[in-house]
Amino acid sequence: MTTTGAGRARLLLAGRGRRYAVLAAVWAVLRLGMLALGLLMQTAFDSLSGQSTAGLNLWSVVALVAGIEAARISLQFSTVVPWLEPRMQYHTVGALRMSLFESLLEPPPQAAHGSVGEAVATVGTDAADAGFFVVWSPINIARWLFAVAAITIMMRIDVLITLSILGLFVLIVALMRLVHGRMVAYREQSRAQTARVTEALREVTGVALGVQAARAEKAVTRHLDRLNADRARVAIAEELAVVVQRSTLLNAAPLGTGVVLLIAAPALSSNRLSIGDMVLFTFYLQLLVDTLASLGVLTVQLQRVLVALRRMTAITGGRLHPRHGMDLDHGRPGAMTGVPPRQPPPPPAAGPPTITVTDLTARHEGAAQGLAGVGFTMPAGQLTVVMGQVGAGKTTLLRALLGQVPGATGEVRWDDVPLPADRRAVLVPPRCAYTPQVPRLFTGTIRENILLGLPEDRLAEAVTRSALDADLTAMPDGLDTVIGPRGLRLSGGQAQRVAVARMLVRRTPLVLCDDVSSALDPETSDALWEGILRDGGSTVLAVSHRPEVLRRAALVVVLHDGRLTAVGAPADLLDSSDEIRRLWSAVAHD
Amino acid sequence: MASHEPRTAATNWARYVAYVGGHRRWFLLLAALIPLDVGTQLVAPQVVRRFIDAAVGGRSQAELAGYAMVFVVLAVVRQVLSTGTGWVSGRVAWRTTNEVRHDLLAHVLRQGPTFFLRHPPGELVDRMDGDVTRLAKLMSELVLDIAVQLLMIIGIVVALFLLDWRYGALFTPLALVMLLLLRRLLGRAVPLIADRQRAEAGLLGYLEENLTGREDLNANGGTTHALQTAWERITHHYRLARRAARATVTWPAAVQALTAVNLCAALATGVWLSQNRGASVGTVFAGLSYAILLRMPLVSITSRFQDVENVLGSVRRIEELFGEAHIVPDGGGVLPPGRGAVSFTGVNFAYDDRPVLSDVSFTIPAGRRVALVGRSGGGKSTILRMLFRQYDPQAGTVSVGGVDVRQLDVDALRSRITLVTQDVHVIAGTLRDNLTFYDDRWSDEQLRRSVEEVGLDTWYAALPDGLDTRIGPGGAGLSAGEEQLLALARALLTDPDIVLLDEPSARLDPHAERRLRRTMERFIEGRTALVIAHRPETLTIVDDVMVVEEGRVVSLTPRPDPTDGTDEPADQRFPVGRS
Repeated sequence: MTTTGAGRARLLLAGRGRRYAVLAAVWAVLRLGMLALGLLMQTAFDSLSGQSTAGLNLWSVVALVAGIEAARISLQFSTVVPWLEPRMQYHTVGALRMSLFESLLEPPPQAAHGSVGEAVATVGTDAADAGFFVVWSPINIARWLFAVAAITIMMRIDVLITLSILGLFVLIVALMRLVHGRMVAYREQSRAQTARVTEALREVTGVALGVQAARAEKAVTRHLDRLNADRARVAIAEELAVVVQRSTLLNAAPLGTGVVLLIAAPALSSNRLSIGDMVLFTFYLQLLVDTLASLGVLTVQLQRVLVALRRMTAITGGRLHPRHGMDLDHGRPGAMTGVPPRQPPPPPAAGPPTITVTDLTARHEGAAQGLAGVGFTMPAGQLTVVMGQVGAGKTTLLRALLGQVPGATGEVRWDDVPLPADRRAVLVPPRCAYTPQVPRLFTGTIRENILLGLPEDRLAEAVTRSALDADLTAMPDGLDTVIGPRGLRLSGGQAQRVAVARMLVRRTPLVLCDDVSSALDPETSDALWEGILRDGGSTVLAVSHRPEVLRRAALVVVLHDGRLTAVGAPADLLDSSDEIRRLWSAVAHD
Repeated sequence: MASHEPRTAATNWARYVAYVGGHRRWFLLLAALIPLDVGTQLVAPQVVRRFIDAAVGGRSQAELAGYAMVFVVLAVVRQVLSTGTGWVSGRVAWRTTNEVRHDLLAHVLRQGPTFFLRHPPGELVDRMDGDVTRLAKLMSELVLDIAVQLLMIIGIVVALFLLDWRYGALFTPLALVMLLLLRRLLGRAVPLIADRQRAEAGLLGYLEENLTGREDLNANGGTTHALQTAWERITHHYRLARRAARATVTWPAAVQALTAVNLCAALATGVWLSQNRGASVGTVFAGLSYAILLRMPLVSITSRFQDVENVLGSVRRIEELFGEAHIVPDGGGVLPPGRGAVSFTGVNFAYDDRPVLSDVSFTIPAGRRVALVGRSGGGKSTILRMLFRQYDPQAGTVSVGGVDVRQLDVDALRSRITLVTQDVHVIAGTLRDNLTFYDDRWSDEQLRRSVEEVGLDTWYAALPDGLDTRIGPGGAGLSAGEEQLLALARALLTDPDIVLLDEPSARLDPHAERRLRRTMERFIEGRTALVIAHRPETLTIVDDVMVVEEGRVVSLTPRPDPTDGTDEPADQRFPVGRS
């Protein structure tokens, strides 16, 4: 859809086609004023050189010029530039950013999505480029209309001079094309280099404290210096190409005037051409060069907006659609066409489910980790613990179960009802919630991080169940404490428990936790697990090696190299697993 | 958060002058090229004047053709000159701003943790690269263009005087009024543009954070909320962007109005001179040409100054960043040689008024290994970060080797300490990059050995390109356990006097943990070590146990010998189910 011209235009206009047309029309009127100015100049100079006695009085010409200029300027600067343009431009930018974010938040399972850095660059720069194009193009449509009219007038005065000027312009355009090809190549290189620089900067500022711990500040700075120097080389080459283009354009008018003078010399002598005609030519020439310049920039701008649109489409896996009904002035976000409104899965049947996993197989692209034919049944309302060495596939098992691993196969049944293949749409609240191994928290208060938009009524209970009460009491702002990007202001254990509270507040019958107590002391961990399992209201699947977790398990699943090596009640597994035996010895003293 | 509002410090222009000073010769070359460029443009209308007067006067075709040729040659010369100036200025701009980038990064990398809480990576990148690139634009295009155009305006006024003193008398005050008015109006919109840019950086930072955490959001049903917040931020940006656009319009509007006045004035003067003082048609045309020529530099300056307003906003943001000092002040002293005893005396520390450590005092003799235990959030990590000087105490003294750390050179102190933190980050890059952070002082053999020693040997053997395999986002995957091991492998490359290990054995299975414990034991052997321990087994490799609870050191005692012959210590802080 977005590959057609109309589709692209709809993306750019974001439902504001009529405003765009108004903008283009107003610019056309403004250009019309310039056209009239040229004709008035012609009259004035013919009259001055005594070649024409008819027509307007010289002083009325001066008055007309003043009137036209006053009208043109007041229209442009009281209406077009401060009101019409920004409303159009930033509306498009906002619509694209909203749609991009919406699409990127839920990537399709098979989409090869790039890094987050790339996505943010697209949301930032490409959307801004598109917005700029939307207000740049009407000005230029008006310019081209002016050019057609001006050339018609010039042809009626002198065909030879007009054709010579056009010939010169053709030459200049050919030269520009040549340089432009080089420039595009350099621009692509410099864009790629810039992406390398920003990606590297994003990485090192994200791990700045780690860089300090490794005392690698100088090495990191040197590395960035190298990347910056590489970029500067191509950027300077690009700049040279741009300068050649620009100065060629700036010289188009003087060269054109030279051509007019050369050809006009005999025509003036033989009175075939008046001084007024010559003045009109030089006046229009200047304005035609503006048009020529925009023609040169047109390819650049078109290229830029097409690249931007292509990248936006690619990064969303083709799911970016025109946005309708959006109104930034009245706070209406609207929606993308062709995208069904977001619907939470139907509320689950009462009570925690029995979950049956059959033949779950997954390959992690580029890594040894994977799963091969894993199957087991999680008892309803109880805890199932996944164990195994580093890299055994524990996290992959959880993510594959949730449907987050691309290309994973196998079946998951919910109380004997098979779930659809794309479980990502189903295994979300209110059915299922999940806390990953390294949970991400967002800039905002602890309250916001836990609720993520839910009503407050179950907040206190979730906080208590996550063993957070003592920590919150110690903070003067309690739940309203603002935690930094990535939850850095909290200790690792606190961040894990905030993430658990975020999961528990959703009261889902199925809960998945990936090693959520790794950074906790045993006492806190014990309280946390007491809380997670409190009322038996959820079936829980957890990765952990901690004795206090194992002690509560109804079922243990042991993985090795992505295969299931043992499954059963902890006590029954003593013979088959060294790890179990070792851990159980600690538990059994109880 | 109110106290964290960016300070609006005066722009330190001397800083930028110093950057430029390093490229003086290129700037002198520019200074020579620009007047030549302007001169060729100013001569052109004079040539046309002679042409017209010759034509009206019925002179020979050869004379007319001669003037026409001169005109064409001037245009060609100008082409060469303007290409040259453009290239030189681009070159100078990139070279100098790369130095700004270097200094900014070095500055940012010296900041403490509070700085990074305040500025997410997305925002920092926008400032350290986006804003500096806008500064490069200022230096290459804007300054050059503005210089050319200002010179142009002056040249035009002079040329008008030469044409007829009345033109000059009229246009000198006009040009002056224009310049004064423009100067007055300049910069009005800067704060509004800065607001818009801040809103944009904030929006992009928010989007980045949420896209990074999208699996967490999806799995916990938070997407609707995230979309709602994004919408609010987009609306906010829209409002600020429109407000800034309205404010920026005054300037170009004034310029355009003034140039229209110019045009009309030149036309009226010409008509009057022609009718009453017998000025030639060529003179009237030249007067009009100069008036039109005056329009070009003014319009150009308009758009340039609009860009300048944008760029000044960027410069202000760069200055804000330079002005932020969450750096621990450098004491400059030298740490006495040796393993170094560590002591805290009456240390108090709070983040944003939230007490983290209260009256903490302890001493660890040189070469002693101590395990820190206690509830999470009790202040253990903060103790380590204070020793590494990422935080300084608000009261009390932290000393190493008997010297207050605030009197020491930060880099010298850190060179003697190895810190392994709780937050493990893998950067998108090769395994080598992740181990060394682009530092090339280690051999491949050393890197391989440290990877193997932490127990990543099997994982390493499976990597297709060994140390040059890309890992992290977009490369070979690592489990969180493997990331943790990688962090320790980084540490093993160092040879410190003091080791600060934060949760080294988290997220590991028992088998890997046993092996790792032996590696750790070797690593801390003979050094002063503070190890945050969460597993009872870790206690077997230390000498003392320090209990930290709610920001206080409850006890610091020798580790009790295991009496039952197993690895299990008797410490009550690990109630693992034994009675």
